[in-house]
Amino acid sequence: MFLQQLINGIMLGSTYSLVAIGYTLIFGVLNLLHFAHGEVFMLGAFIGLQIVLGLKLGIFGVIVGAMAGTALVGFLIERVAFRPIKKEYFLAPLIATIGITIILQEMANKIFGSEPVGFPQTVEIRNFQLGPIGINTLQILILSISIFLMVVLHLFVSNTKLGRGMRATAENSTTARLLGVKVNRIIVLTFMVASALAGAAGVLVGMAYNYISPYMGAQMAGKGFAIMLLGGLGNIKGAMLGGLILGVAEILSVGYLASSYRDAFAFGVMILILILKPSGLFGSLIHED
Amino acid sequence: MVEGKVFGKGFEMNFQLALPLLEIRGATKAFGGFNAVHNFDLKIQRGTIYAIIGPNGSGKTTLINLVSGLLEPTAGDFFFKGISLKDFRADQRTAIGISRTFQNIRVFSQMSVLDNVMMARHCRTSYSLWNLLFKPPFKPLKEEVEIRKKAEELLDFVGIIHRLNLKAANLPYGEQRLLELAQALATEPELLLLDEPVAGMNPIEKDSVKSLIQQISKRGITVIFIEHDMKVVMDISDWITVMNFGEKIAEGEPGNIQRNPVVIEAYLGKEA
Amino acid sequence: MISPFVQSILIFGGINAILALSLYLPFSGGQLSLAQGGFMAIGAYTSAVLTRNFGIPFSISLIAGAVLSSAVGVGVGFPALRIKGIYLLLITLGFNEVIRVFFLNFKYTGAVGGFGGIFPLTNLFNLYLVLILLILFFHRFQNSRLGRALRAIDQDQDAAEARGVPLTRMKTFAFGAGAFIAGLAGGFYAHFVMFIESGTFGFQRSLEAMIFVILGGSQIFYGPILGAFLVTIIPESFRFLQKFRFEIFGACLVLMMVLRPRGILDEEVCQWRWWKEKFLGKGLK
Repeated sequence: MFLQQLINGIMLGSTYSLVAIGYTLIFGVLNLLHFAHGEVFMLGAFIGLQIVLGLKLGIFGVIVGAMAGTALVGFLIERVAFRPIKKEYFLAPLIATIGITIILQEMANKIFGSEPVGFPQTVEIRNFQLGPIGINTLQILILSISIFLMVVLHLFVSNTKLGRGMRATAENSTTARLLGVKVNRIIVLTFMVASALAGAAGVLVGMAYNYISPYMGAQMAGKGFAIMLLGGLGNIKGAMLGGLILGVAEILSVGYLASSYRDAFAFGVMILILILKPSGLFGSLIHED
Repeated sequence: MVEGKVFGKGFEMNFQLALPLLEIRGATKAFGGFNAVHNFDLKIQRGTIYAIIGPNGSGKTTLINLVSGLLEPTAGDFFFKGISLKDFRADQRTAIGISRTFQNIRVFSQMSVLDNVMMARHCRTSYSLWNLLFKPPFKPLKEEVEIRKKAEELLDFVGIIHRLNLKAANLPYGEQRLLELAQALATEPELLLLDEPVAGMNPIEKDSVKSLIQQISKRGITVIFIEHDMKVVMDISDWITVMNFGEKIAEGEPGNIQRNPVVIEAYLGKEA
Repeated sequence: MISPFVQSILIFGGINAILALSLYLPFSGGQLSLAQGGFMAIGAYTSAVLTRNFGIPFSISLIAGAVLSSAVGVGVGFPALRIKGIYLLLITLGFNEVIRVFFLNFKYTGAVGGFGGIFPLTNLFNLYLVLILLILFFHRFQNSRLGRALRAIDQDQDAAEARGVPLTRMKTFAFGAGAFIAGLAGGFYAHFVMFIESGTFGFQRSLEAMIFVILGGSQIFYGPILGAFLVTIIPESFRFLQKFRFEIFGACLVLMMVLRPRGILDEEVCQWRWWKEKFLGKGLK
């Protein structure tokens, strides 16, 4: 039973990781707490839904399509709500993202209705039994796609020129600019990459739980922050591991405590971390002054 | 022996005249493996003007930070008026009579010049929320009037009274240093620590600050200042301590320090 | 006299103004708290229980709720003392959620089902009386040594400490007093809407408070009041835009941040001198 919960937790957690990576990436490179990132995740789910219904593509097509769609959304957000704002006052970009959250939530509400919808099947479900653990093809698919995306991201950030540009900008954007990094492009790229990952996560979560709603983004936001703190602000690997940890913790808490405590779990974690070890479990790249 | 209480800590003030105002024994501050200050001793007597000099990076500012409470020492004892400063936070040290300025000027840039000095009177006034809430309307609290009067006096003393209502950020550089000096004096210190008080000033401004420091000393405030401008140092200090690499390498009267070969070497390097 | 519709807008406006002021206090000391919703909840539930279950007069219940709120506020403020900026935002958000989940599960006040049957004791008179008292308080506070100390902490904490300001005491005070005021807002809210549940005091409520302060002007205490009234009243006046009022609000937020991030009111705008200079030009003294 416990092992089953563990596997479920890891599966859930891997989708959390994809979203959390976006939060921590944007915070690391741009020093911005991107409130609207949860809404991008939600849009990914809905865009994926439209693709399934409209274009009738298979799962990979859906995911790629959703990622492209959310990358575009990320691009627009950067253009409209980030670039025009002066960064000296750290609250200004933050509030702007809150404005975007409201806009996206309400628009999704109008276009897709406020009732949760189901996500149609795109893969044939076959169940396997590995000893005490039951697992099906959908779960395997979700886990492997998540891991694949995370690996690709990791390779991208560590080994490519653009990835290095991102890391340089995260450390010190002024110096990076002086060294020839096209910081503005890196910023746009960061938004798009983070949004694409969130979009993929949206589709995966939609498929896993057969449930998407315009308010799923708001739920995700709090968890995203908690994971970001858990893993260390700006720390991508931390976000990956933190997401898994939170996913497992949530599933276990539902199993062994009442389910209404589930959401508070993320926040309880957040508070503990902030009090005990503000730099996160794995160390933050950012040193708050 | 006289007994008194400050913040609930009992202490005994010993009025023996030979007791130094400030005594530092074996002060050490390590950052990782690097000793910013190492095994530093110092005795400061009341009523004199002390200079601390040394090449850049020799630990002077760190020393002031240790005395004012901005940094915790790795080792060493600090005594002010015979009291150990060990458990005193920075604001408590200000309340018992230590005040300082900063190397890179830290005035409150968004507040007016007057407010900057008035806020420094915080620890010398004690009216509480209740006094504030239940005072008669339209009549300012007596203490507020006094705060304002004292602040204006200090601004006049340093020479920027005409800037009363200006935002501190809009003051020219030299006047910001004067503002910080007024702030430091507003807390009624017995010991004033100045970190490079004339840095970046033109000769006229430097002369005026020199004269201010001398007047401050005449009022009974003991001054310790860090400086790189040797003329200023030689002109007004009674006693000089020289630091290098976190340690004291010499101390004495200005004339002797000038001729001291160890000091010269520290600044100019060894003869090739 | 006044139509019920207008009355309710004025009452919500007043409650929001009080909530906004509750955030302004810690904010002016550099502490951005997203826990005001939670403090509001404590005030709301406590005062509601006291009036409904124990028949205690409204004014006493209101204050009792606010006092309990401020006690929790001090409890939250204490670990938050060393924490700044984004981290503080997040930890207070966390506390807000913890409080929300607490009331979600607390059987005595109805848990998921909420707490209803609260007497409608809030009216324009008592609400605005309290609001005016708060305005008087802030007016006196701003120009007092306490107000100056908080502003100094906001701009440069270490320098403030060097100038003799006891950080712990001041910051904890700001947090506790802010929570007290939020508790008042909660009490008025509960006795107006007559039914409360934990969801009403979630982090959206705290975000609203933040928006009131930021939009209205974070430099001076009239700003949050203005922000609260604007946000409460304007969407209602454009009922014909009803369908899109949230989107427009969101767009306004973004626009404000681009054009005037410090909010509408600041020290300059509040001085006659500034307006005179704007229209008549400088020159003749």
